[in-house]
Amino acid sequence: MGRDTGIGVGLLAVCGILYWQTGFISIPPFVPIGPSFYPRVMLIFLAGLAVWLIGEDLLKKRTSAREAKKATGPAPNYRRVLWGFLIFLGYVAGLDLIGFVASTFLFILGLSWAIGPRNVREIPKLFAVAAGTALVCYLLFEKYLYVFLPRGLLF
Amino acid sequence: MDLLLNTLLAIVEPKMLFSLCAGTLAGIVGGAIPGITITMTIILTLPFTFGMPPLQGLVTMIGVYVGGESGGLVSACLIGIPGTPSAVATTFDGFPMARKGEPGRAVWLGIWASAIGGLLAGIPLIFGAVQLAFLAVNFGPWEYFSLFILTLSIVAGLSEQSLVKGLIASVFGLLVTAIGTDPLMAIPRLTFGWEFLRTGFPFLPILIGVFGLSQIMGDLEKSGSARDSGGLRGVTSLKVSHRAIIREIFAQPVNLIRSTLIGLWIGILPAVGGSAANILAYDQAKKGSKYPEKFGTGIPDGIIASESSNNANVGGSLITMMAFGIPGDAVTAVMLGALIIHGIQPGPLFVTTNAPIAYGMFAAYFLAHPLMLIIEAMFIRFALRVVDLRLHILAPVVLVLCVLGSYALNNIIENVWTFFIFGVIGYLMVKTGFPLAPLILGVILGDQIETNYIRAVMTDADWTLFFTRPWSGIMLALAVLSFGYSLRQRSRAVKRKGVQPKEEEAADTEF
Repeated sequence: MGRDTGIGVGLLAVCGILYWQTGFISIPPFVPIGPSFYPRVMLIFLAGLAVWLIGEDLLKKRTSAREAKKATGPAPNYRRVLWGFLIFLGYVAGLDLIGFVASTFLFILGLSWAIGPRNVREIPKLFAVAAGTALVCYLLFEKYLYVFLPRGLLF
Repeated sequence: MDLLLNTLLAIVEPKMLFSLCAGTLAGIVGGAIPGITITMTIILTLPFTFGMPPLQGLVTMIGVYVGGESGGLVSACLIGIPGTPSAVATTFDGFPMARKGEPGRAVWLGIWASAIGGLLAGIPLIFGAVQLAFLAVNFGPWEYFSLFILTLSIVAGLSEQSLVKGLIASVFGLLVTAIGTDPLMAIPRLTFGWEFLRTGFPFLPILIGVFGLSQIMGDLEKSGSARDSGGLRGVTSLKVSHRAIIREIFAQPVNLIRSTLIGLWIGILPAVGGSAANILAYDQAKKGSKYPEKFGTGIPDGIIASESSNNANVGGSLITMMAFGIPGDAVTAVMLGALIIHGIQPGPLFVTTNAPIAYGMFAAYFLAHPLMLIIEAMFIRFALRVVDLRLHILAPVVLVLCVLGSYALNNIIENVWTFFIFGVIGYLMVKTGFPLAPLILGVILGDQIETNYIRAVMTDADWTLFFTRPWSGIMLALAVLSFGYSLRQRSRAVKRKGVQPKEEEAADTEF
């Protein structure tokens, strides 16, 4: 099964679940088109397109893996991306838990270290950027723009 | 014209002028940093505009837009990496010219061509937007429905890798708007009992996530990229004779006007953007040249074509946004969001009911170009240092500002989660070859399509009116033609190549 086939099957499953959910939308009397009409039409369209995607994937000829690799150059560094997403997930979760200033400081420090050259001599610079960004954002948004940033256990 | 002059006077008030200058400077800096696109810069500017009056906020954003289109050329010419996708073609001749020992000429040719192209496109912006808005005022729900369908069909058809993927992205965007209360009777749909979803997903965190987070993650995967290798290190002076540069640009009137018109037209087409405009203009300049073999070796023709077209593209995008309420690209999509936040309904009535704001935008557009020249003359040396910023420092700071942009919309953490979820979706879409522009357009137009369809059917149950009303029928026919054309183009391309490449390898972080 190709990747697009997998996506198509996944989309069909999502369409099925959501279509079933549209059955629970309350429909007021005396209206020609109820609120469930539009999502149902979209879901039918999406399901049809998913079938098209699966069909296209099953029918298309493929290049060999070696040829494809030749065309792309260096391999993407998915490890860094995974680290990026995980650290960012921790940051968003931490906003409510430890507050904006503390979580922002830790996030910048953590992500810069994780994706950077990991040179010990860089640490003071990373500290300065993390602290500076957290404080400038706090002062600018809280004191000047009156945006009440998330508070938590630390700040 | 009086209104334009009056609003021009309002724009030169210190507060407005400061906002325009700050926006233009932010755009230039953001555009100059590889990896930070104009969309990203305008997203980062967004939270600062929430507290401003609508016109001041929009003036700031226009500054970012105009400045950003020009800022991208600095890194394109000096380090050989386009600061924004709309400066890709500038690299082809700008960098070789700089390497030949003329970095100042390369940069300033681009800056002046940007300013001239942008100003030329300002004329159709004013007259085109107003005339199209007057035409659109007579549209009923049938015409609007058909117009939005046409827009979606064009955008989905323009996706480079697969038509079906473009369509899926569009319909997915439309489906996202079905979550929450329905626009006519306020009955909750597909909320799964979650209170936050009763009002639907907010548009701006989706936009910021889809373009911001996914782009940063796309940059992270390119470890050891060309950005670390550098280009022309040690350049400290970019002094030139401005008179000679201007003379050089006006010595190519055909190239200048043709590129400006290409930029303008691409801008008018929804969700295509400056990245297509500059490459198309460069290609046409090469094809129309008496010495095409010299393109790519550092000649001024290529720089002039690319840069005049990408700034003219701004004017075109604003025409579509102001006349129909349809974003010409991601940047105008953010501007549309900003209008809605300020309680202004974009659409054909915008120019007539909010004339001071509309004309203020025209005035800001004109003023931003000379300001861009002045700011670039003052800060070009600073830009030389900015392009050296490393990704591991830049990415976390940009992500924090994206979080703030999502959160500050209405001070709830759920917006940040929306940003994160759609960021992940956006990244996965890019990696699997699904285009992002149709998704965003679907999210923007979803409510409008549903509302206009239901209005049309409630006004008259005769569904043939969608085809028999002249403008509606024409637009639906164009939608079918656009769809058919895309299918034909693809089948030709497949026949030419013989095989289709697997998209997982082909899909880089393209937007």
